[in-house]
Amino acid sequence: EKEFLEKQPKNDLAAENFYKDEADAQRALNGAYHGLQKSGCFRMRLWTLDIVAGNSIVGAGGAGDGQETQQMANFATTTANPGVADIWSTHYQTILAVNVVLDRVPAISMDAARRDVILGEARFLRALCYFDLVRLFGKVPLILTQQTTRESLNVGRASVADVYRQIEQDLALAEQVLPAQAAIVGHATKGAAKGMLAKVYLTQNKWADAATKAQEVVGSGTYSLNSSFATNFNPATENGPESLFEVQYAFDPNSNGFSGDAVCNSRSEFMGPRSANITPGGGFGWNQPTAEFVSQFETGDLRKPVTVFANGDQLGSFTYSANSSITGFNTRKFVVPISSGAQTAFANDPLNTVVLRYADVLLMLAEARNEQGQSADALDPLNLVRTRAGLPALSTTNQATLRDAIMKERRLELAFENGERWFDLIRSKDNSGQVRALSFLPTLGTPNDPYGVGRGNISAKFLLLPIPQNERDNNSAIDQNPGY
Amino acid sequence: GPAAAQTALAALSPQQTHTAAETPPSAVAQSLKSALEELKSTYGVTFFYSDQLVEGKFLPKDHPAFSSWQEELRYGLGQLRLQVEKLEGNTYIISPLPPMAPAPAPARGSTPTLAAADVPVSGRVVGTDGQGLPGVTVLVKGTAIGSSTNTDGSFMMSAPEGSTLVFSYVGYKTQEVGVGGGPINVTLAVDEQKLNEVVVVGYGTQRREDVTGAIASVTEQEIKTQPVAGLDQALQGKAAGVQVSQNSGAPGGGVSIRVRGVGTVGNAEPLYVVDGVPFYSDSDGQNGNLLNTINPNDIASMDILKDASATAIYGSRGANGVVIITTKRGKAGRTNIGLDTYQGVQQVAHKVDLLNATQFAELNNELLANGGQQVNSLASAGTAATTPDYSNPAALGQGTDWQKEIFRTARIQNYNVNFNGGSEKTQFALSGGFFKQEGTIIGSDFKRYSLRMNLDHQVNSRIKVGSSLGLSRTEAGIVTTDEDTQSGLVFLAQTQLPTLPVYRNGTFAGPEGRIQFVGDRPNPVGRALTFDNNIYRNRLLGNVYAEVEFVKGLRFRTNLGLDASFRENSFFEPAYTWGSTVHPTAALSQGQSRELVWLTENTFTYTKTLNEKHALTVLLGQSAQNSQSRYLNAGDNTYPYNTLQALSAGSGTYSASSGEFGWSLLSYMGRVNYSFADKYLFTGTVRVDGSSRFGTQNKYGVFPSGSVAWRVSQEPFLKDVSRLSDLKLRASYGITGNQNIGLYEYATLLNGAQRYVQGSSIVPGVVPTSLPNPAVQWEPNKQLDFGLDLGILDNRVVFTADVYNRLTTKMLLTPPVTPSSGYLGAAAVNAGQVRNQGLELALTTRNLVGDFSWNTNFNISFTRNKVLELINDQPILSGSILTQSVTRTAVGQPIGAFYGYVTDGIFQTADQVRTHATQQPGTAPGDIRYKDLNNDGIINDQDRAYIGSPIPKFTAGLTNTFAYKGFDLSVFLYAVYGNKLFNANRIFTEAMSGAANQTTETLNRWKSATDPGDGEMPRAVYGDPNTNARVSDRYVEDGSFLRIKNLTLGYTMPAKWLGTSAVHAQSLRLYATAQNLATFTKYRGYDPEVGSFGQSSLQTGVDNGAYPVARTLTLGLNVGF
Repeated sequence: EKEFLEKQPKNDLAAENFYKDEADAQRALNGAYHGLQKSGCFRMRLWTLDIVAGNSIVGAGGAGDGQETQQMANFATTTANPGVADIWSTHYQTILAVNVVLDRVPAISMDAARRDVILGEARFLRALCYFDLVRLFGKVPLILTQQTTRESLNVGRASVADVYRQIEQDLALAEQVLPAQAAIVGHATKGAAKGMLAKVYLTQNKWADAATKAQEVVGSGTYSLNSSFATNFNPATENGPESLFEVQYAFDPNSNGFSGDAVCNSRSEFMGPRSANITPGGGFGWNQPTAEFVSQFETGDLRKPVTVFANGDQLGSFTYSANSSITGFNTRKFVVPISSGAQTAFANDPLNTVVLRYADVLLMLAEARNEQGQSADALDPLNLVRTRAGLPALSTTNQATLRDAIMKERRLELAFENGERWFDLIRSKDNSGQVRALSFLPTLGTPNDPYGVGRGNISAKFLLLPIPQNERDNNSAIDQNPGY
Repeated sequence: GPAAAQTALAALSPQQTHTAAETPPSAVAQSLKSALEELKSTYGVTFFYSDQLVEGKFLPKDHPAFSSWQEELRYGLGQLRLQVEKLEGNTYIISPLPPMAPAPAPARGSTPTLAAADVPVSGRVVGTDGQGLPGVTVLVKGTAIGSSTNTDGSFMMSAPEGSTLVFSYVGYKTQEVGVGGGPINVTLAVDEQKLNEVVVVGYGTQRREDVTGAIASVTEQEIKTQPVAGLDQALQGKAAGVQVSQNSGAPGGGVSIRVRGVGTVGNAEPLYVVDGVPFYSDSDGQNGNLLNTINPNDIASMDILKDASATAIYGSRGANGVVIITTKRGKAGRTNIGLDTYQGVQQVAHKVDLLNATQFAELNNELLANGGQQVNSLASAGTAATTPDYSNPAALGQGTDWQKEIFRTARIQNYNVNFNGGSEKTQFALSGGFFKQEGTIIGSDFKRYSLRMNLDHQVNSRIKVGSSLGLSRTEAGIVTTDEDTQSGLVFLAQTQLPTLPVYRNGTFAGPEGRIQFVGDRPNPVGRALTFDNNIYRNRLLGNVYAEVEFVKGLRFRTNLGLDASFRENSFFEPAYTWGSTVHPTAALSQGQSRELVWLTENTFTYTKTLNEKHALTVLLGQSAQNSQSRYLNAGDNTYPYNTLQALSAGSGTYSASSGEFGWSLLSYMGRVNYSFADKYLFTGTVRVDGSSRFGTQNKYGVFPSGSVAWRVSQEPFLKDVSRLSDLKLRASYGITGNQNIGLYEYATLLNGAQRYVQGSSIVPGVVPTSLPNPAVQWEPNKQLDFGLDLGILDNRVVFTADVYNRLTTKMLLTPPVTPSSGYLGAAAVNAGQVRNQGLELALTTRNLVGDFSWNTNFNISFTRNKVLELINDQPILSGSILTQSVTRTAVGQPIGAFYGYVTDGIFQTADQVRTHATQQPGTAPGDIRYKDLNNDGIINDQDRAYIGSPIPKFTAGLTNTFAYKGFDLSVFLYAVYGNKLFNANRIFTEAMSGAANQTTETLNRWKSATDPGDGEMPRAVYGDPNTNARVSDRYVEDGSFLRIKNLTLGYTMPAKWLGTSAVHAQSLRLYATAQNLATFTKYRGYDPEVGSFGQSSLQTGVDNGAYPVARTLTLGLNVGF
């Protein structure tokens, strides 16, 4: 009788039978890595921040398509914005997966060195998530263990300083235990931890620390620039010498990028020129570069044809027409055409998302040095990046000029990548001491950008996203960012 | 005896008949009582009777030969002015025949009026289906002289010339015919009043007058005139307190049934019990419905258990009501053969008025210009060869009418053959059916093949065995409608541009040109005709039983049930290029699932009457039910062929998934029915359910109920009021449950599908995704009911009223989790309360009897639904359209209430925009002004409010049936009043923000302050900067309607015509039916009957481009042999 009423699920694992051995530990860690693949993280939301940053518009089907991103880009973001909610919840999902690893793996009987690496990787992932959260939302709940009861769910926001302290601590610990070369391709390494730490310091204007960490990466000799810029966005040359950390995607025969469980990317379909049919679903035409952005490329910049499609551009037998787009341009950087031979299907492309690459580290080093007044020393790393782009080296040592030049270089080098432009705009100040987002974005709009109707709406409150309404509705201990 | 009592049964041996003799005449052999005892022991049957009816009465020794003991008994009892009625299985009740007018007393002192000589009379009695009725009592009016019909319904007797014969038969209306020359052929009509008298109550039956709970019954007659795929649709408007709405007009489409309001935010569908096997209807999205596997022609009755007293016997599954379905069983006697068919056509009754090509082009030009965009002309169109030029709209003319292209006049047909009969020991009912319905949208259809075999066999005096087996296959061809608001066919037909032709270059046309001008919607005709989407179901549903009577009054029944359903689905989308709509490779997915449910039930029933006053029935039983399901799905979206559909022909990169799950239920139940002197009735029920769905903390639940009834009409002070046939007062209270939650909510489960990429392989990853709740338990539903049953004028007027208060406590809610916890969801928790209060009235009257008869059935149900408590009083938002919620379930409001912004007219001037609360950066004159409900100077999410309830104030059904000679006419009206509908179609068809066709209402749009339109329709502007299309009261419409649901006119051929015809039919009826003939409503969508999306209580009344309900005209034929 008792047995009759006991039914064991056959599709799901029961927690009491799991977390027993090294394989389980590895699977729990894989679950945490999976979080990075989701749409609320690198598959979509982070790159849509580039639209908010003014490099591009949603484009797509026009009118109401991509409404939540349009709302953000027009600085009319409401607390119910589903894109914002997606970023928030996805990052915390990854944090839960990480916390479970940190809670459970220490008790597993296994090789101690292996275990330390797993724990180090978990900390790296947690730092990555909190770094996004603290930059986008400011104060956030700092949750470091798995919550198992309903009562434990109400957590208030920790101060920004406390969140950064935790990020630095996690990365420092990760840096200690992680190997220079990952045993498993794509997993976090010592270099990845150092590079992220450099960015964390840079974001906090801790210039000396940032320069130190960036220099450690450069000095390690592990990394170098790919000779061709395009190599960074080719599924055949992933995890190359320029890559410090990338989210691993693969063609997913079981799914597509609209599924939360998928392991494929979908940037290619989203950004492929709409209805151009060079991608398997025809292309959605998201992230259309503005004329203002495209005009920033100097003549001869080798990155331009890799980064954008302009009228008449060829891709195999395909000729790009400006009619495909509202702005006349489309993003090309991540398009994996059917003709490439890489395995792709509808919203299902295998291209990894590079989270941190050596060019970024070089630009960070340049910036950290310039901000410390070492402008001459800043030129070397900056010119490495320019030279690879086929551009003449700069020689100015004027700190203010160089500040703008580095920022422009970052804009072009890292365009459309993971919201790097947005993070730069909100962390850095222009030469008049104004936060760049507030001084730069209002200059957009007619005539350069007739589609960015709402750029001028930006105000200080929009430097942070609102705490999502569904968090506020369910967490009695959390308050809202000012102005929302 | 007197000569008048002398009669000769001509063809049989001449003999004496007897009046109800007080002493045994010489010709009488056996006392009635001993005869009954003998039948009991021989056939294992049980008789109920009051001793005074039986004491001292004797059966005639000689009688005609009958083929069954029932006929013989019926004959014998007829002589004694008694009748026998079958209650259920092998339980019979013996009662007096209704009183008849006394025979005129012979005139004193004169010669007895024997002037009228006896003449031989013969004839045949048939039912309305033309089949002979055996055992019909035929009496000379005013006397006890009589006979009864033999197995084929024929009779022969002698009767005084000029006298009147009275034909009476249990369950049929009594008829009188004068003795003239020639044969007397009589057609007896079913007396629905009488048929209703036995009620199926779950693990047994009861006489209607003994019922203490609230039970509504729907008869075979009411089901069979309706040309619908499923029994659930046939229930609509037929029973008070049962609201039926079709979720989709797709052939075989889903239905939502709510018994007594909406009891929960979870699954609020009732439990179905078919021949003792319980299951839940499982709506296959909008497209299918498990109930459709049951052929409505096989149904003998449906009884809907409503109050806790009635449903408590189903314990943890009774909370949302129980629909008990009994299929037809065989009767001893002649084998009857029936053929039934109908043929018909269906059409969408109402289409939406849309812009033609000229009007659309004008609108597109206007909205682009208002949005600062380039307007479509040859110069700007780019691909001028295929993009129409909008610079001269008038030249474009009417363009394509997409509604005309996808809707069609569709055929519906139904065929049934049944055999019914048996001997004393074995009775059978066999049937076969075929039903085929084309959808009113091209590319959709539904077919059902069904077989049924019901058997009953009397092994010996104590043991009876039998089975009910139904086998069916359904095949549904599906077109996508409201599952996806953007790509459903009903949406596409409304929004696809009239400037696009259906075909171009030998294939389907698709948009070509800039998206702002031509949009990027796929061709709906292409989708309907080339996508191949099918769901097949095979189902075996049935049981085998054995019944043993150990000692007098103590019966044991064991029941083994099986419900095996197998579902297959296949979806194929070919590769195509229709303009910019391109599907480069074909996609094929196929799946199979099966559910195997077995059931074993053992019950003891003990019946005892003490001192003629105390009648007691005790039921004790046990039940175990187990379900196991498996599925296997595979697909390939880079499939290479357009002509071949087999996964093995694919490129090898197909995906596959499989799974297995199950549940079980172990139950004990008991019921006591006690009545004192037929006046005071009491029923007590308890069921204990143990469920695999709950953890150790709450594995078992106890569900008790009690009810009392007082048959006031049996009291001495009313017994003599001849006009009062019945008056009963009822009261009940009890607790039932709802256990409809996920299968493993109590356990901490890990999701193993969170994979990651490792080099060239994909490796498993595991994360917890749900916050568990080990204490989860069923949802208790407490219900109080007061009822009244009244019958007057020999039950010509029957009235039933019930009021109830139904409180769902510890409601199962799937709580939102704080997103910062990292969980995707949480296990259900028991929190929240919902109250449903209602009043149900049902009235049946026989207004006219005789040659011209007129009966009326009316029922009306009033419901109030209110949420009393939720988790932290946190509202539940549901129904996302354009990322906005449409409904909000909040404390103090009904479940699934509409929620959105409140409009306040149109801004006419820039000044008005400036002085009003800030709406959106691009807001301009011509845009909708929204109310700043919290007066904070900004229009945002906080300015949304409750904007209407989808729950009707009342629903009502009214059926009038008329009969004259062979003609019958039935008119069924159905009304729903006081609910609101959210017409989500208009979010897209009146948005005026991009290249999508719009309704003609948009011709009344705001154009300028001097041409402001109708004052409600905003301006046309690309991108809709003000979000005029946000969820607001703009789309909330009155959902009330009155519908001529069914109108049937039939003609039954007189038997004399048939006797001479070549077909040798016993009966023949022809009829014509109009279903949904006319609908009176203010609703602007296709049809105001909008059910619940996917049966969800939280998404009721949201018209998301639902497949419209059709108007159906059919011609039918019933033939009996």
